[in-house]
Amino acid sequence: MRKFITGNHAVAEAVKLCRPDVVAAYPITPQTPIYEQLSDWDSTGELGGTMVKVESEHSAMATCLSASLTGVRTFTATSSQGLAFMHEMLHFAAGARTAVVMAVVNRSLAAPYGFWSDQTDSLSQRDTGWLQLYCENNQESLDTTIQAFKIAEELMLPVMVMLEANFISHFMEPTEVPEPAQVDEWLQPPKLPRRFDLANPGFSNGVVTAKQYRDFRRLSSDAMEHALSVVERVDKDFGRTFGRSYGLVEAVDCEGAELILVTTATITSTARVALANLRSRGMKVGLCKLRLFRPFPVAALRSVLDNAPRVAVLERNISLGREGIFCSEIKAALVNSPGHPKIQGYLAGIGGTDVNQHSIEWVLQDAFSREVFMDQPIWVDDAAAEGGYNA
Amino acid sequence: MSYHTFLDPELIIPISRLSTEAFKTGSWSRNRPVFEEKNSPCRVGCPNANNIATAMYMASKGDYDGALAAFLEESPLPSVCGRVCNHACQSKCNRGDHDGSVQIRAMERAASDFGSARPEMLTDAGKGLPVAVIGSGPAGLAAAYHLARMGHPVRLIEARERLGGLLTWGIPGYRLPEEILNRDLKRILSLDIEAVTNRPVDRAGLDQLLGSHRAVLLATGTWAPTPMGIPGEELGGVCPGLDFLLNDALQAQVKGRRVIVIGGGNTAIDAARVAVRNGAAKVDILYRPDLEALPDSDDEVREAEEEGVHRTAAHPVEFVGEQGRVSAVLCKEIERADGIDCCRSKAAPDEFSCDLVITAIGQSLGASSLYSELDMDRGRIAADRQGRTVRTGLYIAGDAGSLRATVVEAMASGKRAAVAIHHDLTGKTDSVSDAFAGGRETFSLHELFRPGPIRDPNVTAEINRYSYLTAVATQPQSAPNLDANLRVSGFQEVAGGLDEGGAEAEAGRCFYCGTCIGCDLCATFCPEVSMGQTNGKTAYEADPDHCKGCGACASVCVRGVVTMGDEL
Repeated sequence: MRKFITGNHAVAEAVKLCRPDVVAAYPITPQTPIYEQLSDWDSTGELGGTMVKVESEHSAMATCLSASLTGVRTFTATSSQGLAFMHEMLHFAAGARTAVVMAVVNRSLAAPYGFWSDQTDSLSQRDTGWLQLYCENNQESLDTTIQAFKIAEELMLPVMVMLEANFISHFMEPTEVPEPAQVDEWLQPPKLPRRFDLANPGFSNGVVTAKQYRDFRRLSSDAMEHALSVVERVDKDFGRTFGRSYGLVEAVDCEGAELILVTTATITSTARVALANLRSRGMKVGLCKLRLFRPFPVAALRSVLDNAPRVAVLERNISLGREGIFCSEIKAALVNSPGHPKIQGYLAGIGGTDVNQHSIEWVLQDAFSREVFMDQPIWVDDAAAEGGYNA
Repeated sequence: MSYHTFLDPELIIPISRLSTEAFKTGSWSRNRPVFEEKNSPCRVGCPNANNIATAMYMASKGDYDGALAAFLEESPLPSVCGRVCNHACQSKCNRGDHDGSVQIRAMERAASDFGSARPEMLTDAGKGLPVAVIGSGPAGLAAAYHLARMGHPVRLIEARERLGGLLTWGIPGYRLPEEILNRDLKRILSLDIEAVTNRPVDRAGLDQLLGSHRAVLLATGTWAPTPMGIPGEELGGVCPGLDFLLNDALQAQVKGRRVIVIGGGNTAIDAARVAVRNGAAKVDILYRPDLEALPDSDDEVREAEEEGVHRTAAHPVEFVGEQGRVSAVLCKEIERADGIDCCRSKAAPDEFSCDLVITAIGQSLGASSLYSELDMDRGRIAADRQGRTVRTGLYIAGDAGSLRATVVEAMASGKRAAVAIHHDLTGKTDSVSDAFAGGRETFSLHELFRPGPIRDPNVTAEINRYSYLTAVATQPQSAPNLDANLRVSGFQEVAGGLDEGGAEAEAGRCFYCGTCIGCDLCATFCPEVSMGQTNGKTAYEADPDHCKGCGACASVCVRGVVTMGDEL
């Protein structure tokens, strides 16, 4: 059924369709509407399962990961400071090989406080051992959430689904909400190991030896590597049933392009328009949307970018003291490319500022004509956003 | 490494099946949990300190015998109080702000209706120390009951032909049926109490009793009407409220007549409703909002109005008569006090015509040789907080010594005096001061004779506020009253009682504040599995080898029984 809903409500719809056994969450702007909607459904009995109202995000994650260890399907959602507060438990959730699914509404981190879109909160969790998927719009947020349960439960690894503050969380779009029976058919109840048995008490995650620790890490690392094929298979399988799939990366007009722009999340939608405009004026530019960040889809990315002479990476986050985080990752992924594409990083939309068609065209013009590619990122300023390319 | 190896659930996370008992985590501890039952707010609110939480817990399990036994720890009159008490306890109920107070009075009635239990003896230390109790109202009955439970031979002396005092003579049967009162009286008299009726005591009799008994308690009440002090009070057809309630012939006179009752309290409401039941043509209550004590509960006002009684705020200034009989009450207009809605009927007419007037504006001690040598305080006999008068061996309880004229206050004063007498006669003054610690007058008698420390009467259990959020809101159980049309034709009991199922459900709403019910949360949430039940009872103790002082047990204790102690 097609509904005109916000991205937050799209995620909530997805969660309800997936029939989680345990939902534990704590409200934080701009994620709160997910929690509120699920809570409403919990009070009317439509959600099913158990909703645990906890006193913090740290406890939300502790609750979800413990529940997951008993073999049930679990979900939580958070944002920004809440995610930062959860950090310690994120390592536990991954290290204990749970299948927790979490929606993260990307929001700037304090200080100073802000409520708008910025990806640094989830990218700061890069090394916690969670899978990370970044969504472009409301529909993709809904679809990816459903996919996430299947991926997490097969791999026994937790999955984060990212949607951006405001642009997705609070913007309304027509969104296709699948029929419950269809989702039930596609997503079976979890077949997770039940690690706790009252008749045979046990204690999980105790202290291990150095060698045991290394071996557990190795197993997790192998599972992450294997995850690439699982995410791809689940996405294709989803496409066969529901008619929508997204890939690990998406390439638009990249064949023979002289410049490929790499984007993630909502900037991609605007970039599609800017690219089409410049191509109609004869510029050979392509677009590569990165959807999966962990595990990093090196092979899929290289198959798109290896032969491009120029790559521009445009992003809404920064690792202070270096550059945009996606840019660093992409540079590292292409270091062994035979053609050695030139790569320039651009920062736009930090703190939730607007990234419009003009600013993206400015980036493309700049990267297309640039003679020197710099190691440092270029901040796309407001003048560019208003006036187009004059350099 | 193969696909199956890195996804094999048995390999991917460590799990140990060994015990962690070897780790003496208790050595980390800086403080330990303390298990201590505390007063529930309702118990503190009850002048008689009834053990409500325990009674509720018993009733919630369907154990009405246990519930009744819990009430009998402190009260001789559960059947009576389950009907007529002003239930101050309920206004203190922690459930009040959540979804409505537990209906404690209705539960006391249910315990007395469905349960059976004998009073428990507290000690035999009073053996050979006889005490006389003069007056068998709620104060005298309570004193006799508790003195007998402490081993004293008790002689209970009543001036009228039946025991019960104001319970028998002052409270109409539609509120307190005779057979209900008799049920409590029978239980009280199963103790070592010699009850005599038709035996008024004069000054000589009192002196004699003081000679033959080690102590005498005066619980004679206040039977003299307070006069209005306005012209016309001597007219025929003007009678005091209590006289009206006591006298069948006076009641018969109201048939077909227009009756005005003056007063705002229980006696006024009772007189009006009795007049309705005796066929009065019209019954009006005139109450003076600036002067009157209002009735103990709104329920009675509502019930009276349902039965056709009309209430008007007015200030009588004169009774007007024709040929020596009252024919009207003149009233002055009532001024509205600043910000206080003291006058509900703004345009009160000046003259209310009538055939009979019942004045019920309060009771006085009256004159008696019994009190001639005693000190007085605001119209009552002066005594210390435990009822000791200036005359050695003579104690006072009930309305004669107090302005707080409710059944439960009278009962409580009887209990206080009984303890004072017992301790004065047996020389155990320490525990008396413990019982009255902090200047409080409510205390548990049961606890004075129980091994272990006496709980501080000033400490009320701090319940876990989180239980407000998690407790599902449920409406208090209620039983319908008798239809108003049926009520006015007789003296059938008005208030309906809960059935056993309803009572069990109502008791289940109780949080049992301050009382351990063995819910096991403290043990369940202890991360070191160190909280355990002791002696198979509902008491918990932390194993010092493993309790690391984290306080989880205290945080989850809904009832405020487990708290964290001071730093070691």
